[in-house]
Amino acid sequence: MKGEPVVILLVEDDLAHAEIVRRNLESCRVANQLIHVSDGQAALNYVNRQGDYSDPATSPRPGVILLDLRLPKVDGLEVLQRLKSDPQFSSIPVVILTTSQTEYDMVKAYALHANSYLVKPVDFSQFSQLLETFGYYWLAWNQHPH
Amino acid sequence: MNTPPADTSEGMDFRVIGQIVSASGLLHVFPSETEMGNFLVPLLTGVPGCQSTSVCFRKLAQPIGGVRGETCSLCARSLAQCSETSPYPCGLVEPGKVRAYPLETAGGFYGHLIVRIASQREYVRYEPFVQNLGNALAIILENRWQQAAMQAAKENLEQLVKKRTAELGKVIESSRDLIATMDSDHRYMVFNSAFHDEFQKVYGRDLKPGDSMTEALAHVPDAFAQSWKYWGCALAGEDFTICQEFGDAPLDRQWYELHFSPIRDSAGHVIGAVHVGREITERKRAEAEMRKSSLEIQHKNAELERFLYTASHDLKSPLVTVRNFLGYLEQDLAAGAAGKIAEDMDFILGAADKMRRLLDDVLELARAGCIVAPPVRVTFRQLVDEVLSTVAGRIAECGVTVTVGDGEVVLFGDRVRLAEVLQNLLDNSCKFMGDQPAPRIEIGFEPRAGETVFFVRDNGIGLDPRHQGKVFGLFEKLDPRAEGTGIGLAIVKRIVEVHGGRIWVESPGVGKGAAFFFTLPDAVEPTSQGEK
Repeated sequence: MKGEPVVILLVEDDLAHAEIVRRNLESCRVANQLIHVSDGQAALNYVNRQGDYSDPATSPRPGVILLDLRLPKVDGLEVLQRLKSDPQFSSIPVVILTTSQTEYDMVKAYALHANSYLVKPVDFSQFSQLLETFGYYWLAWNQHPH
Repeated sequence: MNTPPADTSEGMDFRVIGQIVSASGLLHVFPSETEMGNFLVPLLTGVPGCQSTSVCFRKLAQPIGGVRGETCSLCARSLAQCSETSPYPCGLVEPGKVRAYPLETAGGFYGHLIVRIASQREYVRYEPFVQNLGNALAIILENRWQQAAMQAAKENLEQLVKKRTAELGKVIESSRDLIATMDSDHRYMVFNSAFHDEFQKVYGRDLKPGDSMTEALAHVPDAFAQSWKYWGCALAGEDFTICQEFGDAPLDRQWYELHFSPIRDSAGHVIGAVHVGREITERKRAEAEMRKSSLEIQHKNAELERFLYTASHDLKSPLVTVRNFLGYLEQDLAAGAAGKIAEDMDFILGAADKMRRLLDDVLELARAGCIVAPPVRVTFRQLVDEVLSTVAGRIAECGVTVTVGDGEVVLFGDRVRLAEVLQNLLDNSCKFMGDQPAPRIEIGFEPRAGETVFFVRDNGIGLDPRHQGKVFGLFEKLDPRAEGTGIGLAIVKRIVEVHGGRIWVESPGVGKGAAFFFTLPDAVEPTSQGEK
């Protein structure tokens, strides 16, 4: 395990949900830095270091992306497709975190090379558990090239 | 060897022989057995040594002539017996006194020639000639019989053909299909009234069997060329079906299904062709309608699916928030973290509010989909004025200058819903004015490709061309911080679609204003279209 915190890019339009994720990851024992953007266009701008995100110091490359599907401006699936078709970003693990349980979204997300698909649990303790597991798995156990 | 046999040619009367021989050649001129008998009886009775003669025809009830002292009536009455007991059929005559020559061929038995002999010695000289005469008579009778049988068979066949033809004619006639046949010289042969009447209606010709196509259609070269082609293919041995439209005016057009096939003789050679035409306008119309409604259903299903998807996602989101922050609330209450408690409650209240707004909006959208008010006639100008007075407050607040284009168009539809379209678009424009120092909205309509296209154009923040497709989606918001749930344009789209129209947005880009265009084909009065 490395010393420097893993950067998580959270793409989430619902501010309350972003807060839930933030609180859970805060209590997570793996060092991480959470960056929150609230629409698909902003997510693309972030990884491409465009507009407000041009400074690599304040906008470091994410180690993992937590992506909601229904997003303003550019839809989550489209963000996924663009990330995975770009050799610069295709190696960044993308974990879908959504309320959608529809078969269509799951099939489409995996077809576009999503690394994992998580459905937001309604239950409080389940949500906590989910993010705890997420933290250990993606931030601690999971290995990927530098 | 030198001595000729006695009683052969000696004393023979050659005149009699000549008569007998030539009688053989004459027999065929008598049309009936009776006349033959009447001719033969005196001739044979005149043969030397012969006392009396009768001719007993199987077909006749009575023998002709008479063998004296006897009658052959018995023989005539029992012909089967007669043939079996030949040569003395009657059984009443003394042997040696009567000769009975059967009139018989390989093909049948026709009666007897009976001769009563007065002088055996004299008669034997002539007997071979009499026998020959009997044979000749039998052959003629056989010919006659065969001819009669053939004639009967022919008549029978003709009657059968007539009967069958009449039956077939009735079948063809009773059909509503247009049936016609044509011979290889392109002459109409058999056709039913349906074909005849349609031919008369379309080409103004009273068609008769045997009329040639070249003459019957000479006055309509196009129809002739086509007819010639189709019949020609059938006469060349092709069996095919085509669908074709006939008639001039669009409303008068009729669809026909035409089947052509060759008619062949028993050897397989084409000797004509048959055509069966059926009007299928109704079927075509029903098919088109079914395709259309099937598409509509598909469209509706897709829309419903999208709606369910959106609703399930968007309605579940606040629930996730409520449940999770209740969890935090519980923890924070236990820890006595007052500041956090207020924050948790805010998130819960916010989510509950959002849920209520979403539910209200879903209901609103459902209402937009059904027209409740009866359609009324209203001018576009009246509608715009009505809406402007409703949103006057908002317009004044935003400092927007509204201009309304010239011209007038009459609308016929649900007045409240139509007003809602304009109101939502005006609201939308006001909402996304940004920091435009001189905000302007222009409302009007213009003809485009034969349609009346309405528009609401502003000089506000505009939108990125990449995001233009998303703006009409349910609960879609390009800016998550903008007020509302993102239902306004979804409602507008719904109302426009209910009126058979479509809606789209054109914007050169962010900061360059936006123009919303829509059509209302079902609401625009056709007579008023394009008046400017």
